[in-house]
Amino acid sequence: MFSIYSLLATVLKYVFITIIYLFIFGIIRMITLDIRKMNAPRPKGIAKGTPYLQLLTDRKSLYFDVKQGYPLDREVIVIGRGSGCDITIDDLYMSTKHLQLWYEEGEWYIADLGSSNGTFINGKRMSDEPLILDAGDKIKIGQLEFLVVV
Amino acid sequence: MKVSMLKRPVIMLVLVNVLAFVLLYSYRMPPSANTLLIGASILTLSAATYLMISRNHLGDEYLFLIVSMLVTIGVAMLCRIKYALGIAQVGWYLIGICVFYAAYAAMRYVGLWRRLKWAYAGMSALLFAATLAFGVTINGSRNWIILGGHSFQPSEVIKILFVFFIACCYGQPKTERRGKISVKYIVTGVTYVFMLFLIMQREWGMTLLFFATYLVLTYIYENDKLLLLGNVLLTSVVGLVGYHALWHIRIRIASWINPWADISNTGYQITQSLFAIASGGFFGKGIGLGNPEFIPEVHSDFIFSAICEEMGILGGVAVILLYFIFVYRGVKIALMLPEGFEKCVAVGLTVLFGIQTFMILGGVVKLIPLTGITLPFVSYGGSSLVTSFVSLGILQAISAKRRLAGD
Repeated sequence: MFSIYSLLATVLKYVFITIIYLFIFGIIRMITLDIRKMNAPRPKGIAKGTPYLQLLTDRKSLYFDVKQGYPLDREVIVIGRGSGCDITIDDLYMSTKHLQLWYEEGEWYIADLGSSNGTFINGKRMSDEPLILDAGDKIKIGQLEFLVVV
Repeated sequence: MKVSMLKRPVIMLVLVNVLAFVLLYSYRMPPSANTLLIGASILTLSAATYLMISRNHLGDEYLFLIVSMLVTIGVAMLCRIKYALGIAQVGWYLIGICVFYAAYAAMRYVGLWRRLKWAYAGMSALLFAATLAFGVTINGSRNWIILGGHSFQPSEVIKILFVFFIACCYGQPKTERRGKISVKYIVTGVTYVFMLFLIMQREWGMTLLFFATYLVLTYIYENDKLLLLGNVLLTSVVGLVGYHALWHIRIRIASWINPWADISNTGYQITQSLFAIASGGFFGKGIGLGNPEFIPEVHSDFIFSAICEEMGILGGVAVILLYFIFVYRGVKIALMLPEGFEKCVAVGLTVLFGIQTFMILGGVVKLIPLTGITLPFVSYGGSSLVTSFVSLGILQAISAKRRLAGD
């Protein structure tokens, strides 16, 4: 009985080491994927020093036109499906006027304009309260996800 | 780039847990279903909390994952060394998860923590005084209080209060600071008072831990090389005097420099630990096939030696790597925050974990003199595990913190 156990324990010690290292590499991999997303190069046509929204969603999977980056170069920016918006994106899951970004006293603010499908900041649906945006925040609207780069 | 389901780290965690506890089930004669129950309860607690964090976006996902792997390894090792302690540790883990959520909620939704500077210092002083008055001496240190049949170590709680106190001082914007005495001198003074209390309780490890944390945070926040130099000089002098005046310290140093000289007495612990690590080799002897019970205190301070003996030096390095990623995430969380109280708390708690881990691991492999502190999340011990989870909950809450536009 004991010899069967020692055989089992001897085999399993190699298995344990392998799995624990796979676990560690798995975590490191997830962390590096996160970092790589954050450090994507600045899209063309955006001047240095201008804060911008960087598209994180893969453009190939989309049926509508969307740019890789949108500069935040005005005091107030409205994003939505309607043609009157500052940034118009023809995503069916977006409302005509979906959200508004504005600059006030050194901070960028975001507010949802009562959209039907909502705005998600770092995975959490935002309420009616406006929020301050920080660099590295992720904004999800419709099928798109943007990264705030300041 | 989606990480495939099977390669996800949480699956690895489940695998380690299932294999380890099935192995332990067949190790103990007669087989007891309790072993499987221990494994299942740890797995349920870890997986439920991990899913809770990742589904509801409660901040950083990696911190808890790393910690649950450490706890799994720790409990498996404890069940193998002393079964009763393994069972007790599961109970502590359950309490730990509860206080983790409580600390998370308290840090996330209560905003007054930055204003309680002197309350932290007062609470700490009170706890120190209580330890000196009602303390019980265990293993040469008068650092335990027995309350209703349970013993706990107040210095574990004071560790967190200490970080909060420093964060109140250094985390305050320079423009808002008032008072004639510069905060760095207040912090220095309070640190020395705390260290004095700890020395009175003969808690050398904690003394060093507090001092190192203070030094690192002062280095980060205050650009004052003279203060740092003065600190190092003063403690060197005090250390030298202590070395000559106190036999406790002399023995520690002697058994670090040459444990083989007095192998049957003062050098016994450290030499047994070295024998255990050496006999493990690269892959270890296999769980249940080594003799970690020869090491005194193997369930708390020396658990790392037992891991090295039965899981090999590769297993030991894996544990170190886990702590390494943990500290990396902590620093990363701190770096992403705006300047202020929370940033200082995050960096303080991370530094505390890092230094504590280094001190005990360095001690058991004879890199630095041995100081009796626990390996966070792995060693047996209620106070240590529960307060570690309080710190983890605080870090978790800080990583999830969003500023509301009204603040």
